[in-house]
Amino acid sequence: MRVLRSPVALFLLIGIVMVVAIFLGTNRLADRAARQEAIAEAQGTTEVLARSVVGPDVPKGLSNVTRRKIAKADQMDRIVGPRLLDVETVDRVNIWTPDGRMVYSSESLPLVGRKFGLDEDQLEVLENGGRGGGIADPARPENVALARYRAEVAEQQRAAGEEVDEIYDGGLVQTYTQIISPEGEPLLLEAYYTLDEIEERTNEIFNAFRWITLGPLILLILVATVILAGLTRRVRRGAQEEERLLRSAMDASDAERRRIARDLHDSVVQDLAGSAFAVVAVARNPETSDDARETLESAGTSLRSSLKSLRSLLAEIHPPDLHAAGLAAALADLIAPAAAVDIQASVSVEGAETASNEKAALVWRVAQEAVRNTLRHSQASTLGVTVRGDGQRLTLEVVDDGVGFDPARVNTDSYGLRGLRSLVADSGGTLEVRSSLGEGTTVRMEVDAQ
Amino acid sequence: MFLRGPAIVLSFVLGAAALVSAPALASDGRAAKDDPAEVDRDRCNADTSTRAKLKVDLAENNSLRLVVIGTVWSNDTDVWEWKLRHNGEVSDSGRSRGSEDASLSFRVNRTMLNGYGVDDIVFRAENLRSGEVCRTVVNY
Repeated sequence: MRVLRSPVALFLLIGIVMVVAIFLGTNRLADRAARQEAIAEAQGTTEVLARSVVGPDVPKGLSNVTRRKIAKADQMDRIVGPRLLDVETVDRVNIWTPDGRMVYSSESLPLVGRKFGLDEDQLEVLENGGRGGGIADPARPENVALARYRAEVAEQQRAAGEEVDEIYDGGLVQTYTQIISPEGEPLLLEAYYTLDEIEERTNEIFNAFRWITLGPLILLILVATVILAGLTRRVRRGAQEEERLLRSAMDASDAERRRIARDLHDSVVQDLAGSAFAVVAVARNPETSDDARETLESAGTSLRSSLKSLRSLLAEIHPPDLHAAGLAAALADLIAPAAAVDIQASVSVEGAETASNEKAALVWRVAQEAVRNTLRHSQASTLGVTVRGDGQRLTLEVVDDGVGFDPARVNTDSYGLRGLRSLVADSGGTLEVRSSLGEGTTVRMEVDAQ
Repeated sequence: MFLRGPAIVLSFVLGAAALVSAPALASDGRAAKDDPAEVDRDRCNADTSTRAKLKVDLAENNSLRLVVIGTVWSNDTDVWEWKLRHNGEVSDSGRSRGSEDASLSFRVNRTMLNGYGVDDIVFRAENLRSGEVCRTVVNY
């Protein structure tokens, strides 16, 4: 299945399937065309038989032939028999009257004089001229009777120890056309042709076309595959380069933020902490007036609050203790600013202690981006960050009840999430953002714990 | 006495031979459809030496057809008009004359369809000069 992830392999597979399907389809069409051609050729031959071989020599009184009165059929046979030997593909020839009586047959002699009836198409041709035909129907009554007679003869021959007559048992083409008796009566001349030989000849023509169809198709698939492979390689290289640049940008951004956080921590935070201590010390001095004390205590409180906010901000930029055991504390620091925007935030971490530090850091980064988006855009009233681990998989969910957004209209991949989605995918995990207008937003990540 | 003995024996032998061959020659035979049928008339007319024969057999390798051979030993070169009837209808007709190459005889050889049931075949030839008629029948 990994092979099918390759677009080139997939294209090749689909291409092969299409070529096979087209080849089979073409074969079927060619077979049908060959068969139509065979029938048309047979119909043409029958018309020639009617005009030149049989028609001109129909004896008077042929249409009165019965099972007993067959002298006229004798005459027909003496004329037609030797001529039919020259037409290789003819299996047999029958002549019918309008009432469905067979008055002559070159091979079905036991049936001469019997009535079997004609179908609509045959009657139409007999009365109005033209030609007709198709693949012979072995279920027609006269064909059934002939088959039965031949089987009986074969049985008799076998019983007498004689050589059994060879009978052609392949497909037959049946064609028919009108002839006119000397009395001016229309009769139906019916001829059967062996299908195998005709089809073999016609298939020889169509076989050349089959390979003409297949060759260019295969060549097209091969050329397209080579081109596609080249394009895919180029696209893949481009995507890899883009990812590398994205990662570089993110790394640079992280590095810069860490540098700022470090600088702030080393200087501003220390200074503020010192100032807060000094203000509190002065406020506690008994010699300080009440008014001044009150002002100093207020200033001290403000300083401590600012210090806390700054520490929280610094923690967001560069959390001090980003490993599995410290994940809960780091996430708690992350949601600290929520209170300032009237969002009731909570963190719940279970079973994440056994996760690797790398995966813990990934969870924290995704949570950081999701929380940041909630604080900036959601206008939510509640925010929940949940991490669950079972030793195998680590799951993060960040859920808010804010205004949400329409994923069809908004690109769910912000700059931050796009880079993280790539990182999560590389780690074998999935990152999903679900939202709808008025229904809040859920960011869900699932990744291996190790 | 010695000469009479062998003569008697010879006459007995010839007489026995005549008795044996007569039925075969005189019969108006209906054979099974697998066997050929022949009719041989010694004379077509009591005043002449004309003889006729009709033979009917299945065509070689083709049980659907019959081979019908009518022969007339006319002992002349007169024109004879002949007809072959199959189940009462004229299947073929024509004129022929005896050929010196064929010992003053002529032969008609035709195929017919092997019909349903018994085929009644009649060969009739009439000398157009003398009016003599030869007629043989086979029921095959």
